[in-house]
Amino acid sequence: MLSNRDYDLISGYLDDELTDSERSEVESRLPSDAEFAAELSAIRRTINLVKTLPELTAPRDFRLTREQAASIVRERPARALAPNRTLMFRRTLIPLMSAVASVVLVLVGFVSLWGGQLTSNQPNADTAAIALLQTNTAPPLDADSQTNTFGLMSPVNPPTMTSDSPGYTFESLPATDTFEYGSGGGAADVIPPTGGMGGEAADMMMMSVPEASPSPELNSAGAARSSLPPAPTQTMLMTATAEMSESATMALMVDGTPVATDVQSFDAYDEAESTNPADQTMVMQAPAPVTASTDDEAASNQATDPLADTMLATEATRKLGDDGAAPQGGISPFGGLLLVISGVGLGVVTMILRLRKPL
Amino acid sequence: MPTLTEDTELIMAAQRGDLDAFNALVLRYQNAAYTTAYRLLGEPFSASDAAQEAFINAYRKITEFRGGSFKAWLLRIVTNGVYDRLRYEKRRPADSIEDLPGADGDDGAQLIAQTATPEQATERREAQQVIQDCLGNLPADQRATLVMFDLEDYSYQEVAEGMDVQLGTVKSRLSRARLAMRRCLDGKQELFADVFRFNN
Repeated sequence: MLSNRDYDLISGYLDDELTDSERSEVESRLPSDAEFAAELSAIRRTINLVKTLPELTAPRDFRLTREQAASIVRERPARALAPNRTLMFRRTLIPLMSAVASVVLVLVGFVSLWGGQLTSNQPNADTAAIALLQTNTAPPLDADSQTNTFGLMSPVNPPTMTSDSPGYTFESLPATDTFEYGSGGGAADVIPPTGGMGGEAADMMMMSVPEASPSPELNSAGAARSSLPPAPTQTMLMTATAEMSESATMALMVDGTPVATDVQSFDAYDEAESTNPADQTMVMQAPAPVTASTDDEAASNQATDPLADTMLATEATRKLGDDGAAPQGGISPFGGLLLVISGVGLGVVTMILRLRKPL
Repeated sequence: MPTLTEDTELIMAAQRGDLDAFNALVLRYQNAAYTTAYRLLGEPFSASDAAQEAFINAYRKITEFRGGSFKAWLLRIVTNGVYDRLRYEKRRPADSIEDLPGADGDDGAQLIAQTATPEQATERREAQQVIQDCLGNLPADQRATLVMFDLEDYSYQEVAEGMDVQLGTVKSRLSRARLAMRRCLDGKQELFADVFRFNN
């Protein structure tokens, strides 16, 4: 009984497609192996029989009509473009993106492997949330919505800002809102909590000051002004409830580090910082009408602002390092190794797919 | 047999939009296109549709033709179109006498040489039908490989490119297809005695 390889040898021999060694193997076997020789003869006869099949006469005329040709010509341009875009995407863009992703993975992995934790020496490296807070947008404040939580990936719009005030005026908030806005910037000095916050449940806001905004100064009911030096990122976390009408707590972070700016507002922060720098809750006691303004008129108007509720900001607990730096995030060496392996693997797959003959 | 120069002139004219030139090429190669489609599909109606579709595709792509054998280029279009169809359709063997070649007078007459006696013509028609039936029983990939290599004289490399497979796959498929044909035709050698005498 002959094997498949025997038949492969027979077929290749008859087609003259064998290597020299294979041909020698066949020719040396033919005199001594009757079955092998008989099968070779049978396969040769089979091929000859197949080749006896003649060319047939077409049952009808396949010439194209004028209408068919015109239809084909009309569709040519569209067809000529569509495959090109597809091919460009398949042959260029996908491999390019894969290659970039591969390089990034490998680089990040190596940094993690050899440099310890990726962000251990970066004071600004707080969290991804901080980075995302540097967008220039914030969600529209929808007073009617009962729950309005914006994720980090959500596009957000700037909050309401009065035309005569360089600061921001926060409108009354719905029951439970979490919103964020801000941008990377250095021009902004102080985040002015202006206007009142209402609502039935806790409201929390996270924001940072946009770069393009004028340098607002806090003028809280004519109270003392203060300002911060320019900082790349400022983030304020606040939580407020309507019931908490006479107190406010605010955490203002610059470059991921809580800071206090307003004399009234951040006294508690100073106290907390002096007592427990590792785990601080910053409390800001804000007077009832709180509106940011740069002129006295605006400040006096704000004093009568019915919306100027007292704010309570509670989301101000920050884990601080011994040196007061931002909390450390990073990638372990093992994670780095996985990234390197993933990057190399992705690169190899990309190369294989790139080198493979296109369909 | 049309010369390459004659083909080239017609092709260039067709590429400029001359439909008459293209239709001259159709007349030259429509039998070859239909035959290839028939060998792969096993029945005349589908083969006719496949051939017509191949000529439409050829006209659509005529500006992409970069020289060489127009017949080989055309048959590649036929084979690829039919092979795509075979891959996605489970082909059934001819189950009606009307589907068989020659049953409706479409192509049976062309199977037999004009010099054959009526008895010889009948025997050869039967023999060729047996071969065609065995061909139709092959898996689609083996059938296409066998038709392309043994009937259309493609090289291994051309078959591999046409079917988008490796060279080793072509060799393997061809070997399996020949073995299956050899076993299918086994025991029917008496049918082919006259064919061999005729061809020799």
